[in-house]
Amino acid sequence: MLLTKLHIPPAGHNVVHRSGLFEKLNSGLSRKLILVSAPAGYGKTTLLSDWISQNKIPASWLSLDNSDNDPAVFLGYVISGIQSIHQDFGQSALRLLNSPTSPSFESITSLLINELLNINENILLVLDDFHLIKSNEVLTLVTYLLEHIPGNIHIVILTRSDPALSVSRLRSQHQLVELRSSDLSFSANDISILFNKKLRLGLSIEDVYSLETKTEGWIAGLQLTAISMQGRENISGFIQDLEGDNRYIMDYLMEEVLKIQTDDIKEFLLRTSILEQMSAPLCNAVLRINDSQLILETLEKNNLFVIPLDTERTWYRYHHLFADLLKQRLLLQSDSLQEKLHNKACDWFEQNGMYEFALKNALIIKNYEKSIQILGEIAESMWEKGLHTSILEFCDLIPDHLVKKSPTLCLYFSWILITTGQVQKAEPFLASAETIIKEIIIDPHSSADVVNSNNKLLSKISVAFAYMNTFAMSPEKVLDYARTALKFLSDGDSLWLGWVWYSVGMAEMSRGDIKKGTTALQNSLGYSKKSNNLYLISEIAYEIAYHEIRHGHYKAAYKHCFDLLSYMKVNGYSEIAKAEWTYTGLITMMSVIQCVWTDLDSAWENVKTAYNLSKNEKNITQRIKVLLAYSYILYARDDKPGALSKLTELEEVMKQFKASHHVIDTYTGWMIRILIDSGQIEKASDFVLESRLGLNNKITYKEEFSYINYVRLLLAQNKFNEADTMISDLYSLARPGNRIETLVYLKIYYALMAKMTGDRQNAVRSLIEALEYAADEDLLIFFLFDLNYTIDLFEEVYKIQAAGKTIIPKEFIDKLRAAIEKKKNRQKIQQNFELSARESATLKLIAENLVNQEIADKLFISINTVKTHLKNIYLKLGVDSRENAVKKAKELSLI
Amino acid sequence: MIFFIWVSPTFVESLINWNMKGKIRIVIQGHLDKHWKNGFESMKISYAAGNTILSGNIKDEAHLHGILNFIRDLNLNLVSVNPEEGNASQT
Repeated sequence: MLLTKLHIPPAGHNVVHRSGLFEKLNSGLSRKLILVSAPAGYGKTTLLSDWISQNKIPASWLSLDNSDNDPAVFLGYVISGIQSIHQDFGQSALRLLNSPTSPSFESITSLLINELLNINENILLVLDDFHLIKSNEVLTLVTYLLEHIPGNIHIVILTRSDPALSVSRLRSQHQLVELRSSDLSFSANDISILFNKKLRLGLSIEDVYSLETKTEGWIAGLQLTAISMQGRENISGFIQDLEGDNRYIMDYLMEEVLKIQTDDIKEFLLRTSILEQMSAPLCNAVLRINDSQLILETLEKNNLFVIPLDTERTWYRYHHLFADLLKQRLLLQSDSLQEKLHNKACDWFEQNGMYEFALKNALIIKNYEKSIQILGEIAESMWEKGLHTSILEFCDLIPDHLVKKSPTLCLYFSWILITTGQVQKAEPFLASAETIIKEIIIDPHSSADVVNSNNKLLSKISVAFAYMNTFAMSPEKVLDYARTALKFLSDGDSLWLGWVWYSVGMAEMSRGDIKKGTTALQNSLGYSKKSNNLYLISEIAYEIAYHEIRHGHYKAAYKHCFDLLSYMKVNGYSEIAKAEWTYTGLITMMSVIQCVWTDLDSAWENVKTAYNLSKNEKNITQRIKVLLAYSYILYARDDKPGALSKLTELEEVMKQFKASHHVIDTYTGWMIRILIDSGQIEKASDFVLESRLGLNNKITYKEEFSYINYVRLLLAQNKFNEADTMISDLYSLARPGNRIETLVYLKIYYALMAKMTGDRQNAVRSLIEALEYAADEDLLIFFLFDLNYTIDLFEEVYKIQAAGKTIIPKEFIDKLRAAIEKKKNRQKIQQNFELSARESATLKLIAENLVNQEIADKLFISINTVKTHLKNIYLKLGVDSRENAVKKAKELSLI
Repeated sequence: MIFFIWVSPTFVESLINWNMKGKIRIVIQGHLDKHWKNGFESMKISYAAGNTILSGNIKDEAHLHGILNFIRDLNLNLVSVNPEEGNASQT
C-alpha cells in the first residue's frame, strides 16, 4: 500500500485562489458527483487541493495510476483513503479483499456502501487522473458507487477525458457539477494576479492580454512562461518573441527553461523524467550522484513542477505533462540511455524491497528475463493478497514461452486462469511447471532444501491440476493428482488442503460414491473455514445439502443451508450473502425443501428472491437450478401455466448452455409430469421418445427422475405391466442407496396402479408403506400430487393409523391431513374463480402495470380482446377495478 | 480563428467506419518539432500552412487512440483527422 497515492498534493506556493470556481465546487457538496474534465495542465489537482484546504472539507484523495485497473487494488485504496478520515471504516471488507478467495468485487462494494451509511458528515472521495482507468470492472464499480452512495458522500473525478460513466443521467437528476477547460483556464485577471501579484514580474496590461491570447489561459503554459521569464530584463520583448513563434509552445518554453538551468540540474531533470516517483536515494543511485536531496528541494522551491508526495519530503513526482516533455528530450539523447536508467532504477527498487516498482521498470524496457525473475518472487504474495488481475496483466505483457520458465509464476497464473474460467489456457502453463519441477527434484545436484521447496510446489501444482480436472469431469485424474498433492502439504497449508479435498469430494460424488464424497467435502469444509475461503464454504454447503436432498435427508440439508446463512450473518457477511450468487443456490435449496414440507408460502418467497438474484448472474448453473425450483413450487401451488412458463424459460437457457446430467434429468421428468397433468398424454409420450427414454433401456442413477415420471405416464396410458416392470427396476436401483424420495414415489405409484386395477387393499397398503418411508423427513408434497385418485384411500389410512396398526407417527398424519385440507381449499377457490389461461396471462400483465395496448402487443391479440378478458376477469372475481382485481387475485394466489 | 476540436468517443467511432487500418492524415495546429516523431509511433511528420501533419499507417484502434490521447495530453490543437487519399481499404 503506497501512502503516497493517498497523500493530498499540496496546492503549492503562488497558488492563485479561484474563488469563482470555489463557489461552483461548493454547490457540489449537495451533489453526488463533481466532474473536472480538462486536458493536462489546467490546474485540476491544484484547484481541488486548494479548495479542500481552504474550506477544510474532510477528503479522501486517491491519485490513480495504471495499477488501479485491478479492482482489488482500486478498492483497497478507496477503503484506505476513507480510513484516513474514519479509522474503523471498511475493516472487514479490506480483510475479505486481501485474500486469494475474495468474494466478488460487487459484493464487497455493497458492503462498503452499507458502511458508508455510518458516516454522518459530508466527505469527499477524490479520484485524480481518472482517465487512466480503462478497466470495465473498475468502471462498473464506480458506476455502482455513484448510484448507491448516501447523500453526504461526494465523489470528485479529475480527468483528462470524459469518463465512460453514465454522466448524462446524473446531469439530468441535478446530481452533477461540472468544470471544464473553459472554466479552468486563466482569465487575464488571473494571469495578472499570478505574474504581478505573486511572482512580481511586472507585466503591462498589453503583456497580460498577449499572454492570454497566446496560451489561451492554459495554466501549464503560463507557469512555464513565468519560469522562463525569471531574471529577464525585457519581459515584453520575451512575450513578443513568444507570440511570434509558431512552434508548439511547450517546446519553445522548455528550451528557454532548460537554457537557464545549470548543467547539473538539466541532466537531473532529463534523466529522472522516466521515474514515476523519485526519492533522493533513488535518484542518487540512478544518476550516480549524491546531492539529489538538495536538487529536489531546489526544484520545489523554484516551482519546477515537482510535487511532494508526502509530508516528510521523501518522495516526489513531476507534474505529468512536465515529465512527458522532459522524456521527449531525453529520448533525443541516446537510445540506450533510457534502458540504462530503467535498469538502474529497477535494481534500486529491487534492493529496497519495492518489487512492483522494480517490475514496472523492467517491463517498460522489455527486460523479460528480469521481469520473470521478479514476478516469480512476488507472485505468491500478490496472489495471497488477491491481486489477481494485476498478475494476469503482468503475465500478458511477457511472452508465454518465458512465463513457462518460472514454475511458481505458472502456478499462480494458471490458478487465476482456472478460477476465471480460462481452463484451457491454464493447462500448458501447469504442464510446463510440472515438467520443470520434476526435473529439479530428480536432479542429483539439487540440495535438500531445493528438493523440499520444489516438492511443496509440486503439491500445489497438483492441487491446481486436480481442481482443473473437476471441471473436465475426469474423476480418476482428480484423485490421482490429489494423491500427489497430499504427499507434501502440511496442516498449515489449510487453503490448499481445502481445495484438494474439495476436488476429491466432487470427484467421488461424480463417481457416485456419495459417502466418500461427503466425507471429503466435510474435510474440505474444516480447512476452508480455517482459511476463510468463503467461496468454498458456500460451494461445499451447497453440494452436501444437494446430495442430502437427493437422498431424502431434507432435515439435514435444510440445517446445512440454514447453518451456513447463520455463519455468514454471525461473521458480518450478510451483505455479501445477498449479493453473491453462490448463496442463490442455498436459498433455492431451502425453497425446495420448504416445498417438500408443503410450507408453500415460504417456499415461494424464497424462490422469488433466488430468481431475482440469479437474473443478474452470469452463472448459468444457478439460473437453471432456480428455474427448476420455481417451476416445481408453482406446480405445487397449482399454478400449472406458471410452472410451464418457467420450464419454457429454462429451455431457452438450456439451448445456449450445456446443462449437467442432473439438470436434464430433472427437467425431463418434470416436463413429463406437467404434460400429464395438463391432460396432454400424447405430447408427453412424444416428449419421452424425444428424450430417448425407452421401456427396454437400462436405467441408471442419471436418468432416475425421468423414468420415475415415465412410470406415471405409463399409468396414465393404462400400461400396467410395463409400469410394474419399470417400478421394479427403479426400486432395485434406489433401494441399495436408500434413496427415500424415489422409494416414496414408487410406493405411491404402486398404490395408484393398485387403485386403477381395482385392488383397493393393496393400494391402501402401498400408501401406508410410502408414508412410513416419508415420515422421518416429513416428505409431504408427493402425496398431494395425485389427490383425485388417492383422496378416498387416505380416509382408510387415517382409520388404520388411529387404530394403531402402523408405525407412522401421529404428528406426520396430522401434517398430512392439514396439507390436504389446504390444497382442497385452494383448488375449490381456483375452480370457483377459474380464469382461463388467457385471462390469467392478462391479469398477470395488469399486475405489472401494463396498459391495455401494451398487453395486446405482448400477447399478440387485439385491444378489444384484452378488454373482453378484463370484463370476464371482473365478473369472475367479483371486482370492478384493476387494482381490486390484482388484489383479489393475489389473495387467492391466482398470480 | 483558432478552434479546438475535442475528439469524443463517437467521433472516433465514426472514423472507425473506414476500417481502422491503413493510412491516416492528422493535422495539428502549429509547428511540432520533428523530434516528437518518437512519441508518435510509426508516423511521419511534415508541415503545411503553418500546421503539422502526421501521416502514416494505423495498425488498429488502440494505436489510433494512443496517438489521439498523446495529442490530448500535450494540449495540442487538433485540426482534422482523415483517411489518407488512396487508402485502398476505404469502403
